[in-house]
Amino acid sequence: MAGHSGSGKSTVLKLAHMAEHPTLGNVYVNGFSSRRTAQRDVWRLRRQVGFIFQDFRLLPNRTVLENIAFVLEVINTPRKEIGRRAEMLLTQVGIETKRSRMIEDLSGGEQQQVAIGRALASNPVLLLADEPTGNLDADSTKKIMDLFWSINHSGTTILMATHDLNLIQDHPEARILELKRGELIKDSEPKMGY
Amino acid sequence: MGPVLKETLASVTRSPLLTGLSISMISLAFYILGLFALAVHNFYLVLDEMEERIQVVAYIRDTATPENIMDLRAILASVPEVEGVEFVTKNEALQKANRELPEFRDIFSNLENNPLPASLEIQLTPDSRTPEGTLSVVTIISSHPMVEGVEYGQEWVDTFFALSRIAGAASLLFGIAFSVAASLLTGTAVRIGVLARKQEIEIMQLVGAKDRFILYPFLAEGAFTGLAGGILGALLTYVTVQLMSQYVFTVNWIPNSWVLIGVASTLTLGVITSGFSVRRQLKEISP
Repeated sequence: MAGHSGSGKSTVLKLAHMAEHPTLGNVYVNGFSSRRTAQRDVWRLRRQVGFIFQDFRLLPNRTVLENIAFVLEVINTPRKEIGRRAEMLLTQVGIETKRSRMIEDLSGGEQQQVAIGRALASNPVLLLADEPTGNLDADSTKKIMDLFWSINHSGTTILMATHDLNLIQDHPEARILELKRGELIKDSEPKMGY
Repeated sequence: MGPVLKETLASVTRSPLLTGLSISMISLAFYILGLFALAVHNFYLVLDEMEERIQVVAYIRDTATPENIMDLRAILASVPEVEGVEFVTKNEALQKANRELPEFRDIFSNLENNPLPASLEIQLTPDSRTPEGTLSVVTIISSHPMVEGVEYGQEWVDTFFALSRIAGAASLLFGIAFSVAASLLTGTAVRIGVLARKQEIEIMQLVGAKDRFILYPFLAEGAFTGLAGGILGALLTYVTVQLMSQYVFTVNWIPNSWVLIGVASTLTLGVITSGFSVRRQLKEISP
């Protein structure tokens, strides 16, 4: 999802995560309707839809493993499984060697890897990412994009907001939505079937 | 309840400085309130002691017969304001004067006749130790023909009750002010703890935690902080009482019910403030 600042990308993501409600119309996400989902039931949607931020939003006073384990605990993962599942997620996002490091000791790219691992904790069907590479250098950006593609290829839809279309130039399978001042001005279908 | 307690304990041990600061703030607030309670309690003990001394003395004519005394006692027994009556004979009055006024002992011993009258010392019920109660008894007793005079220190009683009323109003006002200040401090201390974990709440919401999963550990933490602050405040007050009694003057400890109410209040305030703060955060935060 591309567009300049203020085009409405973040708003679309927030609407999809039901962090905001539409003033008009209705938002459907994986069977949840914004009109029919009460605030107290939004947690059900959020266990199916992960969210990744530009500024990572991790718990700085905890280790990598604790950040992941914290979320697993929040989503009621059986206690015995938390350790094993956390290790699995760390491996999946490629940060398992830094499991005991404090968050503030990691680079931006590594922090984003942890944030992606956290978003995957509940096996979401959809990942929403708001400028996830906005704070990263070129190498880290490539690493995160590769990670996104690998997650996508394993069956999770990713809706990513970016102002940098170069990020997907080598991926014709991506569908590009272009927004301008809150309007969808372009919807290019994937060039290859997936 | 297990995971909630575990999470509470983890949170307390994870940020001991913040928890310690919150507990210290609450304990200090309730220590000040405790000192005020001590002052009020001890002041009222002194007032009570003074109030117990309020009595009406009816002096009996020398011509009064034992039947007249019996009659007077019977009248007083039927007055609801009267708690007890003690008859002091002329001789007892002289002995008492000798005992209490040793400087006049020579004069008393040289008297041919005992000039002191017999009297009835009338104790009033606790509720009647007021200017009105006293006056009511005085009116009844002074109309009796065998009563020569009545003494009850009207000016002293009036001054005592005026002071007592001023003290009551001042204690109430200052008590309210101190309680409000202590409550606000407790609320702020707990709220600081919640605000420090705003990010945690945000992440829990983000990944799909139920509101009550987020709320319960905070409520337990608020209860813990409030309880610990209240107990520490009470302990500090107790230590102060012991030290003052040992080195300055005897200070009476406040009733235990006051301590219980104080600690229960800090606990309740901790829970309520924590609940409100988290609810507010849950409404404010959006990804």
